[in-house]
Amino acid sequence: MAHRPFSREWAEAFKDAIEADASYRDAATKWIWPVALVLQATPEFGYTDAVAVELTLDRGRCHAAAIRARDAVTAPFVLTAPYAVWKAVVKGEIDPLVGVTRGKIAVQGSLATLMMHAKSAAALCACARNVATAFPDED
Amino acid sequence: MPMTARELDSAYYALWRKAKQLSWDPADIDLSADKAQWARIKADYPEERYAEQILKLTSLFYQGEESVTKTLAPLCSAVARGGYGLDKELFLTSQLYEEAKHFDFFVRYFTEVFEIDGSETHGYMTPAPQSVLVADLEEVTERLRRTEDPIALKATFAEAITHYMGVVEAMLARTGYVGAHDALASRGWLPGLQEGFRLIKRDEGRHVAFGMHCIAELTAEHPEYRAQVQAIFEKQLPNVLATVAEFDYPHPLVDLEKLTGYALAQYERFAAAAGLSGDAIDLDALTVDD
Repeated sequence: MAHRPFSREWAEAFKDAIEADASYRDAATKWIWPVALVLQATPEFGYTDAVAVELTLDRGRCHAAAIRARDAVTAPFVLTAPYAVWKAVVKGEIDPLVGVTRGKIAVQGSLATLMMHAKSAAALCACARNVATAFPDED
Repeated sequence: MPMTARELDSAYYALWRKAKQLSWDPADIDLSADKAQWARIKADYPEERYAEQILKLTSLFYQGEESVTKTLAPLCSAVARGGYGLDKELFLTSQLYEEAKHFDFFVRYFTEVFEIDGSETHGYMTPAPQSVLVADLEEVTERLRRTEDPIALKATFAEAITHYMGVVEAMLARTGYVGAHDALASRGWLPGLQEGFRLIKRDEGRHVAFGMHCIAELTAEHPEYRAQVQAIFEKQLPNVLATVAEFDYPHPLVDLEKLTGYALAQYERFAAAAGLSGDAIDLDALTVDD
């Protein structure tokens, strides 16, 4: 069943996709920090406020995926983008690192650390492609 | 003071020998075909703005090579004052000569092919390249020049090596030369400029290898330097990425994804050499010319 992106159900499916992905597990053996993906407010599609999926990541595993308000995020790495950019990332149309380098995705946290683990970040976002997603602008 | 057996057997000395073997002269490069092609590129691609992109790219190289030529002397001086080794001193003399040659190549190219004054290159120096290629490099090398305390000298030397060889040469220059050479070669354009890029890239490979050997040695001896190395990359990565993004045109001349990937790969290698990532790196392989 497809879920609305950045919903509780979608976050849980994303966690399961990460856990099931051998490529991510191999690429992220040294990644030990939680990450939050923040969707900017998009009222036209029902996101009246910014919303985050906070992933508890540790050495190739994802122990939890929680939906939080932007202000409640505590992850040391926060990636923020508008709806169209996250949609393109989930569909595999934008490489997340290219999104960061072109300024489409804003990064809070150590850019040097994130870039040192570029393959891990790319593999994480690739997992989102395996999540059945019901995009509200396609309803 | 005689060279020690250890210095004669070092990676730095091997790089110095390689520099002597691979010397070249910018004046020997044939630019006759470039001049005719440049006129056609300017006339035939107004919508793609290829001429503008080539001018911007070469302007950043011009400015960058001028900057690294002016700022290398404090590193040579620090090696001598700190007694870091004659093998390193020898290599840096070859690097100083090579940086001057690279700048000389661009001076010649702007004069003979573009037929414009080098001062026009300033117009392409937006804040990000100005900061990473010129202002911040001048700041750290000037600080190195003024440092007398031996402990502070070595720490500042590690900072200067990181900025000069790790950021400017590895992430920007070498990446830029690879991307620019590929872009021109795939179109069969400007063979003289291609040849200059090829030779400069080969030299930069040795410079980067020197920096990686140095930073590996310095951080192994002083693990506390790793925080400084990380801080420099933290500060300069946005400038590097913004500089690459300068070439994000609707019809890009260079392959930006490939360029970004190459820059990040260079960063990963330098970070690994500094012991930041925990990844092993084969430093001996760096002496092989690629």
